[in-house]
Order: sequence, then C-alpha cells, then structure tokens
Amino acid sequence: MKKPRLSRLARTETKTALLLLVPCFIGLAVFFAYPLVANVYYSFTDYDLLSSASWVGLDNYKFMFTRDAQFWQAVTNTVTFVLVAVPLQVAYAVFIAVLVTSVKRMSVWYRTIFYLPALLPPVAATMGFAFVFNPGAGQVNRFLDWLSLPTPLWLHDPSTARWVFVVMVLWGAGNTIVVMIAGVLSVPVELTEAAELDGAGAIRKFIHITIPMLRPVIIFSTVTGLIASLQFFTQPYVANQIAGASNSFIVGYPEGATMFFATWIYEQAFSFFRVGYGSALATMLFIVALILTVIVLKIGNFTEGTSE
Amino acid sequence: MSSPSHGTTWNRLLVKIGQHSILIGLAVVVLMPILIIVATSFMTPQQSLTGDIIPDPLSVESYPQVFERIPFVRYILNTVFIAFTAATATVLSSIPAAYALSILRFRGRNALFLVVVAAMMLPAQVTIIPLYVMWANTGLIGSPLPLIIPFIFMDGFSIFLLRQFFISIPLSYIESARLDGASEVNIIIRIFLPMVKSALMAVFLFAFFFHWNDYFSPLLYLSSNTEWYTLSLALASFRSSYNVDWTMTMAATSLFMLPVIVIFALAQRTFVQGISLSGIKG
Repeated sequence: MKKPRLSRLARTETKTALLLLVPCFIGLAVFFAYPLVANVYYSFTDYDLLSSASWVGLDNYKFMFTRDAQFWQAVTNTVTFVLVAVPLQVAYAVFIAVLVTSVKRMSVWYRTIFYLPALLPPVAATMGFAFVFNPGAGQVNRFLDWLSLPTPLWLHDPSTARWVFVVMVLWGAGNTIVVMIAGVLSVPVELTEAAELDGAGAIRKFIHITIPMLRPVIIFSTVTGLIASLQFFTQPYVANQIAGASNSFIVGYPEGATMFFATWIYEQAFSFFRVGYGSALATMLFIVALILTVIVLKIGNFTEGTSE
Repeated sequence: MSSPSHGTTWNRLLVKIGQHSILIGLAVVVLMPILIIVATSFMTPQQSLTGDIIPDPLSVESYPQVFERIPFVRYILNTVFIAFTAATATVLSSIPAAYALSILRFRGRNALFLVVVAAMMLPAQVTIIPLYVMWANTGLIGSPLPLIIPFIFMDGFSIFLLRQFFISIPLSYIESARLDGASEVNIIIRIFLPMVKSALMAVFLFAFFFHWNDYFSPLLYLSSNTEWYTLSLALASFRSSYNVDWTMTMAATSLFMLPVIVIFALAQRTFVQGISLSGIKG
C-alpha cells in the first residue's frame, strides 16, 4: 500500500502548527494529563502531604462505599440537586428564550437583564441571597408573611436549604438562556410562517416546531448543566460561612443538608489532608463527568464542517 | 361587530401586552436581589434588619467603613492584578493555539481540539488535588503564581471560544498573503489579528471576569496568606471574621459587583456573541 504523500506546503503547515501548539501541549501535559493520572494513582494510596504516599490498594474505595456515611449523604444531596436544578434551569431558559425572541421591542434589554446574574461574582450573589432569604428580616420572608404564607427558615432548615440554591441556579442561568436564544433564532422563519398559515396557534407552534428544532440545544444545555452542577461548590461553601457567622463555620450546615460532592472532596483533601481518600472521591467524579463529557463531544459536533 | 382582521389585531395587542408583562415581571424579580444589595448598603445598620427595601434615612457611612476597617484597597489591587495578568496571559497563549486549530491543516487537528474541549468540560476537582500537591512542592502556595502560570500555557475555554470565532474567517486573505511569501507569524500579526479584534476582546473579558469572580482557586492557593487575599476570599470570610453588620457587607458586595455591571453594560454585545458561540447550532 502506498501512503499518500504530503505536499511540501502541507508539511510546512504541519510544522508551523506544531510549533504554535508547543505551549498548549506543555499546558495540557502539566496541568491536565499529569494531574488526571496522578489523581487516580493517589486514590490507591494513603497520603497526607507530609509523609510520602503509601500504597493501600482499594482501601479508599472500600471505605467510601461501606463506611463513609457522609459520602452517601453528599451523593444523595448532589443527585437530588442536579435532578431538580438542571431540568428546571433548561425549562426556564426555553421559556425565557421563546418569550424574549417573540417580542421585538426591548428584547435586547430583556436579554441583558436575564444574562447579567450569570456574570456576577458567585460570592457576591451568595451574600445577597443569604441576606434576602435570612429568616428574621429577609425580604423574601417579609413578602411571604405579607401574603400570609408560611415563612421557612431557609438556609437554617435542612428541608429548605437546598431550595435556596435551586433558586440561585435559576437566577444565574444566563448562559443557558443566551445559548437558548441563539437556538430559537436559528429556527427557520419559513417553518413558523408556514405553520401560522395553516392556522397553528402559539402553543401548537411551540410544541410542534420550536421544541423539536431546539432539541439539540436542549440536550446540549442539559448535559453541560449536569457537569456544572456536579462541581457545585462556591455557593454552598460560602453560605455555610455566613450562616455560621454567629457560631462556627460548619460545612454542610444545617445537618449536612448542603454537603455536596465537590464540598466533600474539598473537605477530605484540604481540611483533613486525607489526600488519598480525596483523590478516590475525585476519581468517582471523574468517571461520571467523563461519561457526560463524551456525550457532549458526540452531540456537540464541534468538528463538524472542518476538514481533518 | 368588528371585522375578523380587526379582531386579530386586537388579539395580537393582547398577546404582546401579556408577553411584556411576564417579561417585565420576571426581569424585576431577577434584578431584585441586586437592587436589595445596593439599597441595603445605603441603610443604617438598624434599618438593614427590618426587611425594608428603600433606605430611609439615606446613609453612606458604610462605604468609608469598608475602607477604614479592612484593607479593601489592597484586596481590590490584588484582584485586579491577578485578573489582568491571567487574562492577558490567556489571550496571548490562546491566539497561536486557536489559530493552529482553526486555520492550519494538519493530521490529528480535530482529535487535539476534542482534548482541549474535554479539558474545558471536566470539573476542576478531578485534577485539583495533584495540582495542589505540585504547587505545594514548588513552595508557591500563598503567592498568586498558581493562579496565573497555567494560563501562560493554555486555557481550554478560551482556545475553544477563539477557535469558534476563527473558523468563520475566510481563508482567502491568508492564502493570498502566503502566495506573496509572507511568513506565518507575519500573517498572524499583520493580517489575521486586526481582523479578529472583537474576538480577542471577548476572550479577554471572559477571562478577566472569570478571575475577578473566582473563589475556588484563591481559596486553595491564597487563603493562607491575607496579604494576597482577593475580593471573593475577603468577602466570604467578611461577616464571620470581622463580625460586621449587613450594611458594610452589602457596601463591599456592591463595590465588588460594580465593575462587572459597568463593563457588561458597555460591552454587552461582545459577551452575548461569545456565549452564543459557546453553544451548538440548533
């Protein structure tokens, strides 16, 4: 078999490309590939940063599945949070995107406002939410009280704490909204016009045209949303510090209700310096995230239309 | 009786009013937490505990307090320094990589691009423990270098975003320059970069705000050294460590959000275009 010969031009192009990519290769090797492998290696060791790592085989994983009650709590919290927050976020984004694109006037204003929270510092946003949701003098409870509705303890009650974060995630869904608006705008106008001529109402147009045309964007947003929610850390971690202002800083407060998977990894590796065990937890996260990432790469068609 | 066409116009008007009412209502709800943060910063400490929304009397005392009671200027300068340096490094390192991945043709290009996307998608937690160990071994924990150095080499999201911009640039300009015998580096600097200024601006702004907002990396690498605290780090420990009232916390929070809101207002088109490109085509 004859190998196809590269032309001189193609060879210089390859050489230039490799030269331009040298920093990227170094970066990928040192800050991505090496730590990925090292993390799996650490997960089979007992390591506390001070003495060198000692091999313990599958002990960390055995401990995780059989003895670590907080692992299961973190898994349950994260899974329930993800299953509630992500579908709500996508549905909310579709709703807003369809509304924003259906009005001509002020649509740039609406888009700007709905996107803005996504850009604000999560720590600042958490401060604001902890304040408006504080049970004593928060504006949320004052409003509920005015409506004669029950006034929960929000971040101080294990059964309501996670809902504050769900609201926060919806509030900050600007990226998903903008991606969804781009998706709605790419639905061919001829399709909706044809449906209108056939006498289809707004709801039928939405169900039979908008939703099927948006399907790829919806799936993409759902999977990227899942990956983002798996690493949910800053908001609960900061809220725990604020809630504990009067007493002490309790991670997962109240009663572990806000202990998420990323928080548990952080606690194990960087508060208790159980680096080996933290790595085992991170490896579990890696497996789940990798599956989701492969799905994103498959449906994303990122290399579509470009030649090799 | 009205004619059918008259009825349709009337219906359309009602639909428009309905749509705008829902959008305005939701927009107010979305803006409310931000407005309450700013409003509370102008209240007296006593009023901040009442659940009021409008400051009465108007008090600006919490603002000077923020600067008097904590080294707030230092935190601002630290955050600006880290965000500016890291964002500049990100833009400079992303240009050659994105150029190679979109304009040049070579074997394995798409496979390499997918690795870059995977690096961007995977949660930080899956690599953070060995990275921390690595930085601990170099003795740089407590300095801002671990937050900057990686971006001198690459940032997955920025390369991804730039490439999405670059693939829409027609190759004819570059090809004709090549035929004139210009070197590739010359082509990039003289011909290509002036054509993609807005893309570079978008990448810089996203990177700048990522670092301005970031909490996780400063928490890991800087929380042992108050000298290098960023605004995120300072604010998160604010209420507990300084035991201050809400008005001062909200004044600091407002100051923290202010540059983001101002720059976003000025460059909102750039942001929205960038985010739209990070999705997929419908």
